[in-house]
This record gives sequence, structure tokens and C-alpha cells, in this order.
Amino acid sequence: MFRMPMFTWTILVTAVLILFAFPSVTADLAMLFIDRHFGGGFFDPSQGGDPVLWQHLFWFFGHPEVYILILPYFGIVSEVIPVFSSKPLFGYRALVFATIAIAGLSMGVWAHHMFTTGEVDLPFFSIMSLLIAVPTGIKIFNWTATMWRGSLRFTVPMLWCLGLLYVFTTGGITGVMLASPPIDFQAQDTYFVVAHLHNVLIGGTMFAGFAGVYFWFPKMTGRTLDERLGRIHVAAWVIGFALTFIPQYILGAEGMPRRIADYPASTGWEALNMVSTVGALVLAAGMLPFLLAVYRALRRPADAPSDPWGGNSLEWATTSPPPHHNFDRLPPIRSLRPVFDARIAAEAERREAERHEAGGS
Amino acid sequence: MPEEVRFFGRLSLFALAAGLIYWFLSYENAGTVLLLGFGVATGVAFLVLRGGQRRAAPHAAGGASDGDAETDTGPDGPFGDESAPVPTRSAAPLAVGFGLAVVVLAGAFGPWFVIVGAVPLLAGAIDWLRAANRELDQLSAATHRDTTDRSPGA
Repeated sequence: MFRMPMFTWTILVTAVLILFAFPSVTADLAMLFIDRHFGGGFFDPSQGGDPVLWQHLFWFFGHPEVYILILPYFGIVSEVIPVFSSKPLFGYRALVFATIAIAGLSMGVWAHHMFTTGEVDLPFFSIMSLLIAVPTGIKIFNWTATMWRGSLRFTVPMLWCLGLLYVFTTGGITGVMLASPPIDFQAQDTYFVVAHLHNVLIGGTMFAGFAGVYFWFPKMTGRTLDERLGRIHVAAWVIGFALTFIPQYILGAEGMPRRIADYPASTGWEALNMVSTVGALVLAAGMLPFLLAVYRALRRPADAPSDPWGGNSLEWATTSPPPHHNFDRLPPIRSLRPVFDARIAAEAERREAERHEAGGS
Repeated sequence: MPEEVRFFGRLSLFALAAGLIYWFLSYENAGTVLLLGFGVATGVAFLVLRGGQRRAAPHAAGGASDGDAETDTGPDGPFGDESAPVPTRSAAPLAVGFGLAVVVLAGAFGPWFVIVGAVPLLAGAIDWLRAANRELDQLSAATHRDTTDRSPGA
């Protein structure tokens, strides 16, 4: 198990989370269906039901769902950063256990979404929510340590990962703030929560997702995406994200509620909302270079090499795109970086052969 | 014990401990039931996996690896046989999934959804079954050919 790539680990842990989180929302929906169509009373106080039970069952699914969405993307980042840092992943086992710890803790923090209902124990769920920052922090630390003193290559996938570090860490820190009930009571249903969610979930998934697309596009299609267009795409998204969501934090802290269509002019929120809107337009415009890059790549012949980045994991040992069944024989897996091992072994053999030739001539 | 089994054990211990602590802190029913339920569910998964592993252990030929041992080859188990057939690509599973989802929505939105969903569901299911039958026929033909080639009279 401890030779599996981090991406595979995160998919495994995500699958386990799905197994335990989804039955709760399935039961919740079945109960709601019975209430609405067959006169049930699970959530109806007039029949002895409790509407907060809906929230419990929904958020028991809803919070692990955040990690179901984000964990595979953490796996992508853990694959991309070592390749472009020319170093092994720092603290691989710690990252595996951090992933497992996140999975376990994520099942016990759902009620921080329900602090203001007054029906949950605040200190317990506050402490549990704060604890989840520890394994998440381990991940951020390990990715940074992987880059430390590495031979960095700032390719487009690597730039997306660096963008993720900024976006996700901002969201993570504001998440720690929201885990504290006094702050949560103030920020409940404000733009602060909207900005936090988008930083963590949209920033985390989209930045790592695009890192994965640029990284594996040559493997999937045999064609490489244009570097220049990719850099414009990253720049637009980093700037667009800051413009969209930093004003929303300020608006939320000033008390602007979410899910409103209009607000009085006396609040003075127009300027920040305008900046946020411009940021959203920058994000949308940032997709154009990406679409153009994909269009241009798909019009070119498939000439990408098997391993355009100097990758570590098994997929780089086969052709781009891979043939049906991937490998005629499974390559030996003696470490976390089997393709790196094979490359080093081949290099050593080549040098040995050159030395023999030089000695013989 | 493989890490994937220990994983469930750890989750179970964590959730049972959290559930007990939460009960004595809050005496709140819903949260306690959810935490303890998660602990019991992961505990059952742990016991089932550990039982399966113990039953499988005596059958493992020559102390075959559990995936953690230092072997030069690939993994054991379902991925060990590299000659195993791979199903051909097909959109049928997608059609079945989509059709089934639409059919189930009939419970909320009315019987018309059954008719709309039944089309992709049946088309996908028929296509899938035919493809599976075709592949099984090809596989048995290939196996039969292989056996005939290796027979002493051949």
C-alpha cells in the first residue's frame, strides 16, 4: 500500500468517505419524500417531528462531501509538485495519514454548520473543527517542504499548484476562524461564508483540477497544451479569484447577508460588489485561453512523448495516449517513483556502456 | 494487517470515542446516534475485512504477499493476472445509469419520467448484455482453442 501514488490514496479514502456519508443524505431524502407525498411527520413539529433532524442528516453528509470533492484534488497536487520540484514527495507517509485523519475528522464536524440552531454542543464541534486544520496544515507544509531547495520548473501545472496554495490557504485560515462559535455567530449567512466556501472548494478543486488537466493532457490525448496560453489562464484566475472573493470577505465582515438581490445605498457596499463582479468576469474571460489551447492542441497531430515532464508514476512508462490495457507487462514497482527509478537505472546503464566503450577504444 | 483494514479500525475507534464523549457533554440524541452509528458501521467493515483476510491467509500460496511485501512484480489479487480480458469500451453503463436516475425521479415528478427513462435504460441494458454475451463467447472460444492446442493429440 505504501508504494501507491498519493492520488490513488486520496481516491481510496474518498471512496470510503462516500460509503459512509451518502447513506445519510439518502435516508434524509427518503424521509422528506415520505413527509411530502405520504403524510409523514419526520420533520414536521405539528406531528412530533423535528426540522433540525433534516439539518443533522444533511450536514452529516454535507461536510464529508466537501472532503469527498477536495481530497482527490489534493492527490493531484501531491503528484504534480514533486515532478516539477525534481524531488520526492516530502513526508509521504505523513501525507497518507493526514488524508486518513481528514476523512475520520470530517465525519465528526458536521454540526459546525448548525452552531446557530442552538441544538448542538458548541465546544465539542468547535474543537473537532479546529482539529481538522492539523492534517490539512500537514499537507500544505509537506507540499511547501517538497519545493524547498528543489530544482523548480515553473510550468503551467506547477503554477496552478502554487495558485492553489495561496487560494486554499486563504480559505483554510478563514475556515479556522469560522470554527470558533463567537465568530461563526457573527458571520452566519454573510458573504464571509460565501468567500470562505469558494476559496476552499472552488479554489481547491478548480486550481488543482486545471493543474491535473495541463499535467495529464499530453498523456490523455498525445498532445501538449500551449504553455503561453496556459500562463495567461493561470494569471487570469489568480487575479480574478482575488478580485472576486477578497471583497466578499470584507463585505461579509461588514454584515452583508448572502442570497440577497439588492441592498440599500446607505450601506456603501456598491464599490466592493463592483470589484467582485469585475473579478468574476476576469475568471470567465480566463477560460478563453484554455478553450483556445485545447482547440489548437486537438488540431495538431498527436506527437507528445511518453514522458514529457520527467514524471514519477506508472502512467509515464507507457505511450501517450496509452494503448488499450496500458502495459504488456506491469513494470516493477520498488518505490513511490517507479518511472523515476527506471530512468535512473537506464541512465546508469548508459554511462556504464559509455565507460566500457571508452575503455575498449 | 493491511493498511486498508487498519484504516476502518482506526475510524471506528475514533467515532465510538467521539460519540461517547459527545453524549456525556451534551445528552443530545441525533448527534450521538450519528457519531456512534458511524463508529459501528466502520467497526463492522473492519471486522468483515479482517475476517476475510484471516480466511484468505491459509489459502495464500507460499505466503503470497499482501501487497506490502517487497516484490519485483506487480500486485497480487484481481490485478495479478495480466492476461485477464478487459471489457470493450461502451456507453451502455452510462445509458443505464442515466435511465435509472430518470425512472426513479418518477416517484417525485410523475409517471411520465418512467417512460422517458425507460428508453435509455432498456437500450443500454440490452446493448450491455449483448456485449457481455459476445465477449463471453469469444473468451470461451479462445479458451477452447487454447485447450485443444495443448492437448497431447494436437
